[in-house]
Amino acid sequence: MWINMGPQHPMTHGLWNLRIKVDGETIVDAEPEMGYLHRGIEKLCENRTYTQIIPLADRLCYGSSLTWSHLYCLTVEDLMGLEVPERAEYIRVAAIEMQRIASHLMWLAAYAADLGTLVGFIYTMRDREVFIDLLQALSGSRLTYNFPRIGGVAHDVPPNFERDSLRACTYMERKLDEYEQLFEGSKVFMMRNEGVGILKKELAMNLGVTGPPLRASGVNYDLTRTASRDTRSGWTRCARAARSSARRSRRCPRANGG
Amino acid sequence: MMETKGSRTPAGAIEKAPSKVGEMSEERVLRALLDAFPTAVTDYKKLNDGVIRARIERRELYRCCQFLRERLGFEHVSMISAVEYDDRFEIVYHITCYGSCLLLELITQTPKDDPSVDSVSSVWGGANWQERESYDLMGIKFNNHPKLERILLPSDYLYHPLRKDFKG
Amino acid sequence: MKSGEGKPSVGQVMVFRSKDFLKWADGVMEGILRKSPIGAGIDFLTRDFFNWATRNSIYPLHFGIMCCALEMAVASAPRFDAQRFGVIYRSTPRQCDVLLVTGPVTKKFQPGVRRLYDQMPGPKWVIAMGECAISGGPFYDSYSVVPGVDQFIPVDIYIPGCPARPEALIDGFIKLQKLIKDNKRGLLTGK
Repeated sequence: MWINMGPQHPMTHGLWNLRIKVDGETIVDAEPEMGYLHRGIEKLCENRTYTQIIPLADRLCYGSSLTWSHLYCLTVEDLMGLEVPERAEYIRVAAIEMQRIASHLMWLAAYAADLGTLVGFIYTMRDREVFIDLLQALSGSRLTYNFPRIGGVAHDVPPNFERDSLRACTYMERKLDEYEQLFEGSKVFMMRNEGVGILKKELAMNLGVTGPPLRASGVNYDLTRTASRDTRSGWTRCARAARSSARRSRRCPRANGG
Repeated sequence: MMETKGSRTPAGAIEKAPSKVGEMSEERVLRALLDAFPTAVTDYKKLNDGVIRARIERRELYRCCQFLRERLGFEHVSMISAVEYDDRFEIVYHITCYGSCLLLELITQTPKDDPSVDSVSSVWGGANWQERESYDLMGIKFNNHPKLERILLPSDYLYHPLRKDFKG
Repeated sequence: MKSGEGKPSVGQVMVFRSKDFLKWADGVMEGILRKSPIGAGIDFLTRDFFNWATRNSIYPLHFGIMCCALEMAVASAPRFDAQRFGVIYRSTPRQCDVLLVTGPVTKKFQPGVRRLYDQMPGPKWVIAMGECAISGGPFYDSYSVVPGVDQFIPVDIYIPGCPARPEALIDGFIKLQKLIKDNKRGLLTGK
């Protein structure tokens, strides 16, 4: 029997339909169905100027909106042969990494809530606000920032930004240990994660899995190191070579602050 | 993500892991392609560090992709997109090799009145949905695709919106 | 065993099919409660109480479409805490009062939203959160986005912003509470 999980479903985050075939209570097959959020952005871009596309690029993936608009600006600068000032590059990269931490905390909040540890939602959302406040001071908005511009950024950092962001990073490093205790000490969370959803390396590469899940499957590939054209020297990321869901949730970014 | 029984990915394509050729350079890849397909590769160039572009005729596309995956170790297709020109369609494949950190841009072209190429979804499972998207939005037909249906737009939609003659 | 033909008398064993039972019960309710002074009296006594209960326990649907959905989630986070206003998100539309539309509705999904709205029992309200739900937002001229959710469902509260801040969402809930208070209706007579 085929059951529809979605498009409206509290646990399938995002708007998509997962049709699952059940045999009693066991799932034997699944087929995802998407397209409920297709906004036609590529066609819209045909009628916008280059600068007007930056807010549209933000909304491609709103959890990581700075990354997408930065990527778009890099593309246009590449085509135009523009060189971005060094300070602007550093501001962009620092803002992106802070937004990355906020986005991963949002993921952890949703993941923990889905798996039964609602306390994880509370703690991570509280800490996410620290980074959102910094980004709001920088760009004026909490979620879709519209901050990078073609050739640099919209404006300089506000006063005391370096001090505040270093404080936020120190605060977060302490919190990482707290989170490890919180999640690994939760029997329910670990039971539903350890040894579940094993994705083998070859399957991951063939199917097009990228980013943290790929590193969790054991492929030591980081696009920010290999394809980076801006200042990311001295950054390290760990790729733990074990393949279950538990390992996928343990990526540890160690970032240079500020 | 569950391990489902009876998974729909083409199992034959993934059981054999690509042969390890170690760190490869861009020139070596281009030379290997030219040696294997001397008449089909029409243009090639190195764009940047780690990025190469090659043009191939559509009759040899499937064999070339198999060669890339099995011999040269290009394990991952990042993107399949289509471009419309006045007199032709070009289908662009961005294929990545994780081992050597190389990106190959493989371009093939089709005439305007017959936009169809062979599907590579049996070589790389990730190409399945990308090809469905190109079909949905641009109308490119992929031969031997396991399920060529609309993916983003409603299934009864009549047009291919990203074509130039669609005025919205 | 009789089915429900004619007026059953006291002492007679009555066997109904469920649909007939509903019709019978509705008829009794109609006569005793809704059209008579008893109904109006009960309403007069309880209208304010039920209205207070309704407006302080608004249950929206767990329905996140796009960016405003993240702000909706943050609104129930510790900093903004919408739960102190009685707002608890429910997973099924059958248990909800409010349909909170948090993003652009595409033409593919429009029948789905309409279906969710129809599945909600009355009294129900709709809040359009964010520019995309109000008018299509940045995608107003797209081929696949419906320019505004009020094209096919009636909207009560509009919350502007792109994305709307969590404080704006809570302000929207408070405005909805005021709207409910201003439109007091008795449960029985509907007046």
